[in-house]
Amino acid sequence: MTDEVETPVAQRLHRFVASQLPADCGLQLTPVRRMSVGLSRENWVFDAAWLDGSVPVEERLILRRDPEGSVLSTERHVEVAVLRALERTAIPAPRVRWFDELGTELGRPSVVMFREEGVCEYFCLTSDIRPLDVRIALAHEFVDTLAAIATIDWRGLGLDAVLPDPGRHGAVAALDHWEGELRRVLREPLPEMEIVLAWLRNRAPEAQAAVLVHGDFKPGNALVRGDHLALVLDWETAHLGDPLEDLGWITNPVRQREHQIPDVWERTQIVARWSERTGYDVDPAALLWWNVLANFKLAVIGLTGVAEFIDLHMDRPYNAPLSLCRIMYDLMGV
Amino acid sequence: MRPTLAEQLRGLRHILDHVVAPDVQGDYARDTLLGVSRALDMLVQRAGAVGPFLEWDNHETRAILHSIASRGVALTQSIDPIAPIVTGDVDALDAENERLRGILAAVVPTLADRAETHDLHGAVVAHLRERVARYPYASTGTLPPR
Repeated sequence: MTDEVETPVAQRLHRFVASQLPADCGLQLTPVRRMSVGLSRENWVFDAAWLDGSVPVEERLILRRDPEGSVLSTERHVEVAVLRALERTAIPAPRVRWFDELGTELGRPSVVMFREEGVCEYFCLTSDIRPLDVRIALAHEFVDTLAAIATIDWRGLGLDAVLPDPGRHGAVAALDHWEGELRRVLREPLPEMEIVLAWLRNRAPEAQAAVLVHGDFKPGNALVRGDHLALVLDWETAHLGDPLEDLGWITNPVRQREHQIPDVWERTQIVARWSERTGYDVDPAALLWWNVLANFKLAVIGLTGVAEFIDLHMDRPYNAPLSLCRIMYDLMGV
Repeated sequence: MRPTLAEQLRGLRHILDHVVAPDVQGDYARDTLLGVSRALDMLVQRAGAVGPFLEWDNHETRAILHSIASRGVALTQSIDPIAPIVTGDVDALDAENERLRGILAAVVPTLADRAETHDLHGAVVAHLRERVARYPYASTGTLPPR
């Protein structure tokens, strides 16, 4: 225990894990420690040890619990369904160990996952810790994994049972969703956002197909082991949508420090490799639309933080992310 | 009045940084406290700019709304203040700002993508760009170091 705030979580967790295992198995948990990473979920790391008959078992685990206030409103049962489906694929995704869907045991909806080896490196592509050729190879792994997500057989995995299929209207579906979130969290009129919304509404492109979309694909949501991508994290915003949505997210100029290597791995190279790997065409106007939507989504997430902060549900200070509007206006050419 | 608002904010930050922070254990609590400290620092530097900013924005927004109304575009409310605003009353300035921006938010989608209101749309965007540049508060969250 590191402080009194963590004690209830540790006690709840011990009871919950014990309830998942045979009685009298000698369960022991290491002290539960809350990580400072993550804006949408509480992350608590711990190890568990017990006896399976006479065989000692040790597991490295992480509890991801819904916080009191979050910048994202998502459903845990959907995330868990996606993760369990991905276990049957080659996509490197977290494995679910136990699930407290309603938060009956852990206070709020929670997922316990296996804690995999690896390091979260936001700037693994641009940091000069690794030589350039290694970083380029790593960048290829990231885009190839994103392409694998976009080409997964989601029907075969049964994901249409939990994820609505927007067909060729992924753009309108995404815009409807994020406008709904904007209306939900808005605490003051924002003409800046209304301008962007009207622009997006009047230009929503039609999709080539509906694919599995990660929704927040970036090195900051991945684990790197050695010089390789080991795990794609944070599937809570996964949904079915336009193939260009994730591509628009990673080619968003705002995020280029995370996704690009100056001169050798920029928008052109990313788009070409992704298109070659997925077989989907990339219409520049449609990709631009998704770049604007990516920033609109970031702005709504920031405004969600503002609303939660005002309502005293958020323990990080937030201010209106208005600077994103200028970036969107530049992209829109207004 | 001493301590001034800025002096009080600075003093609170000093207490958090020098008295509370050294005894805080746990990564999450420490990072949270750092975020509070950064936000207080931002407020020390910028809180005094809020009143002048609101005065400027109200004046400019009202001028734009008059331009829009003069072209026959219907607005949802009167542009003129409901009651006189006492100079320096930041709460009243803020309420009026929200009211004017509500009118602007309602009308601006109707200006988009129409040739006859293209210039008005451009004027609104230009003003909002300037407003973003002058906005007194700033986000204080940071990404991890590279």
